[in-house]
Parts: sequence; C-alpha cells; structure tokens
Amino acid sequence: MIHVRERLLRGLPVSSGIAVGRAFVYRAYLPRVPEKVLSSDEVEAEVRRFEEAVSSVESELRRLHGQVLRHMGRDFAEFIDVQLALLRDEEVLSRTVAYIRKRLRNAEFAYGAVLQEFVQHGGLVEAPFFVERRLDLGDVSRRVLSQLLGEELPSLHSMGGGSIVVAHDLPPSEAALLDPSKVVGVVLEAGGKTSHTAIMAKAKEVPAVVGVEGLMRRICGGETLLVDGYRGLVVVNPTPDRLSTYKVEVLEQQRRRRSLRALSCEEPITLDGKRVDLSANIEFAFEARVAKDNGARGIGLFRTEYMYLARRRPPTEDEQYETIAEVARMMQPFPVIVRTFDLGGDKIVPGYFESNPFLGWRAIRMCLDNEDFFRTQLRAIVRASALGSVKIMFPMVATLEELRRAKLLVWRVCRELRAKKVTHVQDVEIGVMIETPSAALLADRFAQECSFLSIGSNDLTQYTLAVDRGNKRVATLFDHFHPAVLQLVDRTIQAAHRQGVWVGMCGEFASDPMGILLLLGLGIDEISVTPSLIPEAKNTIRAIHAGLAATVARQALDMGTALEVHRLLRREVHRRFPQLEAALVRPGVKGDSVGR
Amino acid sequence: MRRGTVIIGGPVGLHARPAAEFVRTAERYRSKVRLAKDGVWVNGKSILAILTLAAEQGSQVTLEVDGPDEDQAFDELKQRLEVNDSRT
Repeated sequence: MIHVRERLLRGLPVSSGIAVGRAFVYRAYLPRVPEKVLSSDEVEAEVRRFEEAVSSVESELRRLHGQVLRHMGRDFAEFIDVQLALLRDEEVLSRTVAYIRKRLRNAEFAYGAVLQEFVQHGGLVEAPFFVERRLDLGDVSRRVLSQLLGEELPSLHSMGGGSIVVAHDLPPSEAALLDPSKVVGVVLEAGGKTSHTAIMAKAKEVPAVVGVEGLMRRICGGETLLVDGYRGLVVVNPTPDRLSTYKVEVLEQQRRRRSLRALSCEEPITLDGKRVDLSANIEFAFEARVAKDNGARGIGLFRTEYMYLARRRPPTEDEQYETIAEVARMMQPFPVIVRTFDLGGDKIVPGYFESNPFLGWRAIRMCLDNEDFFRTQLRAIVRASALGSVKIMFPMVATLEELRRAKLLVWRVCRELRAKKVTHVQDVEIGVMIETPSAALLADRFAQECSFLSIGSNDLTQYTLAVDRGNKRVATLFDHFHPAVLQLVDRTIQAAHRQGVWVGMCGEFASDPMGILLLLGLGIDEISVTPSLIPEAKNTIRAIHAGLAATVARQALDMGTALEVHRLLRREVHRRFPQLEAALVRPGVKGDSVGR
Repeated sequence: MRRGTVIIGGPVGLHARPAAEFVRTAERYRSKVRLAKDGVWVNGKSILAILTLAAEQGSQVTLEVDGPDEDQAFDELKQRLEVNDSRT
C-alpha cells in the first residue's frame, strides 16, 4: 500500500485535546443566484414564495434558538435574536418585494440585489456596529437563499461521526450546534482565541486549532487528520508511526488521569509537610464542577471575558451576577477569585484598532476609562460575594494609581449597595495580578494596599522579555524560566510575605512540574491551574521536598540564561527528586518532538 | 405624529443587540417609526438601517412615531433608547 505523504500544518491551539478523524470540509458559500425575468402575472406568486421562504427560515431560527438555549444556555443563544431581527428587517423585506414587482425579477435575485445594495451603498460597510455582525447577516441570507432555491444548506448535520470539521470559519449557528458526538475536532483557517467558533469549541471540549494559513487549499475532504489541540498542530495523513505515538500518548493520558483521580482526596502537601493551596483557573461556570471533582480547593482565577465574548456585547449586572453566583455556590466554602475584564479595547469599541494592543488600551486601563461598564461588573461581583468567599482581582495593573482608583470604585459600589440594602454586603477582598515588571518591582507597595497578589506568569514573561509569543519569529525567546522572570517572581513572593499577604500564581509556569518545583522553593502560597491539571499538580507537589526545592530555586536565581536554568532543573531533579522525575513522564512534556 | 430627541444610554450605544430589541418593540406597533442622527433618517423597523447610524452611547438621535398607536409606541421606544440595556 502506498502511503500518502504526511504533512504538518500549524496554527493556534484554542481548545486542548487530541483527535483523529476524517476531514469534513465545510464551505459556507452563498448559493449561486440565477436571474429570471417574470411575466407580470407571475409576480404575486413570486412575492408569496418569498414571504413563505422568510417565514420558514424564521421557524428554523426559532427552533435553533430553543436548541442552543437548552444545550448551551442563555449566553450563547442570544446571537439568534439578532439573526431574527436581521431576517425580518422591514427595509430589506419591503425593498425586495418592491424589486420583484417593479423589475419583474425572481425572489432570490431580488433579495440578493437588495442586500448587496444595502451593504455596499447603504453605509453598512463602514458602520462599526455592523462589522461584528457580518457573519450573522451571511448566515441569515444563506438560509433564505437556499430555502428559495430549494437547495440543501451545507450543514454539519449531514456528516458522519468521527469527523474533523475543516472550514474557513463556521457560521455562528453551526458553531453553536457543534455536536461533540459527531465532531471530534475543529480546524479553521480564520480566527483567533476569541472568535465565536473558538469559544464554542472550548466550551464543548472539542479539540481545536485555528488560524491555519492556507488550510482550505490544502485539505479537500476525506483525508485523515490528527488535531493536536495542545500544541496547535494539524497532521494531514499521519503516518502509522505518528498515529501510534499519539495513541500511546492518549492512552497514557487516560491511564494517568484514572490513577491521579485517586489523589483527589489527598492534601497538596510536600514531602516535608508544607501545605500549598491548589486551586483552578476557569473560564466557564460549568468548569467549577470539574475543578471541584478534581480536588480544587477554590478558584484561583475566574476569567470573565467569555461572558462578554459569548454574547458579543457587555453582559448586564444580573447576568454577571448569576454566573458568578453559580460558581460561588458550587465552590463553597472555598474562595472564588474573579478577575475583572481583561479585554482589549477592540472588543469594546467596534472598529477600534491598535497597532500594539499588548501595550495599549486594555484590561484595567480600559475599564477605568469606562466607569459605568466597570461598575456594572463590580456590582455583580460584590453582590455575589454575599453567597460565599468571592474576591476581586484586577488584571494588568502597572501603577498604584490604577489600583487606588479601582479600589475606590469598589468601595463606592459597596456603599451604594449597602444604602440600597440590596443584599448583605461585606467588604470584599481585593487582589492584584502581578503581570507587569512594574508591578513586580513595586510589589511591596502593592501588597501594602491589597489583600493578596497573584502572579500571571504568561504576561509577566512577555513584558519582561519583550516577546510576543504569537509572533513566530520571536516565540522561541519566550521562556518563563528565564532568570529575569524568576527574579521578579522571587521579589514578588518575598514582598508579599514581608507585608503579610498571601501570594499565588496562575499561569502556565504553575502547570509545569519544574515550575511547581521552583515556586515551592521560592515559597509560593497558592498555585492555580486548569481544572484537568489539578491531580497532576497535586501529584507533583506531593513528590517535592520544599526545603530541597528552596536550595534549587536559589541556584536558579543566580543563573544568567534560561538554558542554564533548564539544565540545572534537569540535573537537580535527577539527583534529588526521584519521585518527581517519575512523575515527569506525562503527555505534553514527552511528545515534544512534534511541536514547539 | 410624535417627535422628540433622545440621548442614547446604556453601556455601549445602539449596537446590534439593543437595536434588535428596539426593532422588536417597534414591530409590535402599527405606527411608522423613524430614527435620525445628524440629519439622516432611517426606518426604525430595520436593524440594518439602525446600525448604519452608528449611534454611540451619549449621542443624540431623533425619534419619530406616526400612526394610530403613536403615543404608547413613542413612550416605550424612547425609554428603550434611554435605558438601552440589552435585556427586556
């Protein structure tokens, strides 16, 4: 048998996991629209045909709304309301009917012409509020046109089980209904981490890689694909060797998961009896249950951006309250740390563009400039704090003024709520994410003015080393074990302890066993990782002697390069941490030959 | 006919979601509904037309309602624009 040549495609990993399946190419094209000239006695029947098509699409969308609501919840169903409004747009409908009557053209042609006129000449192209809804208008018009043409829409429903969807992007309605029993993986040419489809794939735990250049030219459908949602890799026609390597990895992963689950009742205590708080980073409310089942004693980082991104508009106070309350109730009596919106300005102001967003108007800066928007979120968090131990954490803080201004807002919100007697409002604990070198250098001052610090290692590394890891040409320079980063981490931990507050870390640094070794050595109080990695992290903590780790960490701080730190860690683990060395064999660390 | 100026409230202006809500409310009335910003008038029952206005938070628009149920429609629609929060 001739084996077709294996090819590797790279993209951005947005939903973790490994999947093997058959490529199903989805093309969301607009159907070709024929132009027909009608005789005047055909006109009224044509108008009726158009109106019937619109109303049958309307019932399709209502059905879809019900389905998405049931399976995914309100946050995710909302875009369909907008699609319904786009479908029934009075201007579009009346102009189409007028077009049919006056110009004696068939309905599909008239509808297409009216939409095009609207988008191109009606000022829609430049309309900032429209940009984010382009996909929705495309979605709706495709439905109407294929209804009129009697064509079957390309749909993910028609594909068999075990498929990997390959597309430029998915229309929102298809993404919302991704069925994990059929779709085992998703690969897109378009998109970033916050695209609608990426969020849906992550929420449904379907492995996904996006932003794969030239994807649609390279895949024609039917090929065997392997999607590696950890490393952002797509393997086309994987060789038997590759498949078996991955198979071993997947099996090993499953086996480890099972054996680690036995650990869920054990405490995260080092060999020499030092206790570390082990908590989880979550994005969706339902992840809180997974975190708790895996043994997390709290949520160390609750990202709130998805509340915004799933709806593609700012969530109301009540909506945010309900989501945070759900997590708080689930985690009781353990703490839940809610991080306020860590969004770029482009997500808030349609059409807003920055050439250097990481140094731009984002996170706390943007929130402080949009006080109403920010207060809405703060009110929701403060209200939810009545239900459990809910704390507030501010992202990307670089100056004390930012912390002070944000604290003042929290204080005012508490006062207002107390005055209104909305609920029993306590003083909410406030913490700062240490993810800029400035905050790390001033950690003492920050620690004096808040209740805890949490180191965000990804951004701290990016800002310290001046490396955008999304930029392929410099991504290899990104290394969170670089001694410059380690010194800032050390400084932060020491400062927190001097000022009598606790300090944690949420970030990839803390999910790496070697990172945990360093953190324990530096005296960290809390570690927060992805829910699925909790057992793994606990296993690592239990295999480490904190006293010995401190010796290693001191040595690491004296190194000059990241490579020297890595060498030191490997040598020391082999020499002094036999239990940890045994624990190091795990997927994602082992099969690295293919990625990075 | 009722006509008046309204300042757009809410967190982010008259973007797709509140525009959809506005249209939905407008559709419940028989009256003609029109909106204007900077002298440009559009059909208030057309979400696409409303989006072309790009009415941000704090911007001033003119609301005009004309028809048999104009009083009730005007009041409800005006309030919707002023609050302009997404949920009904």
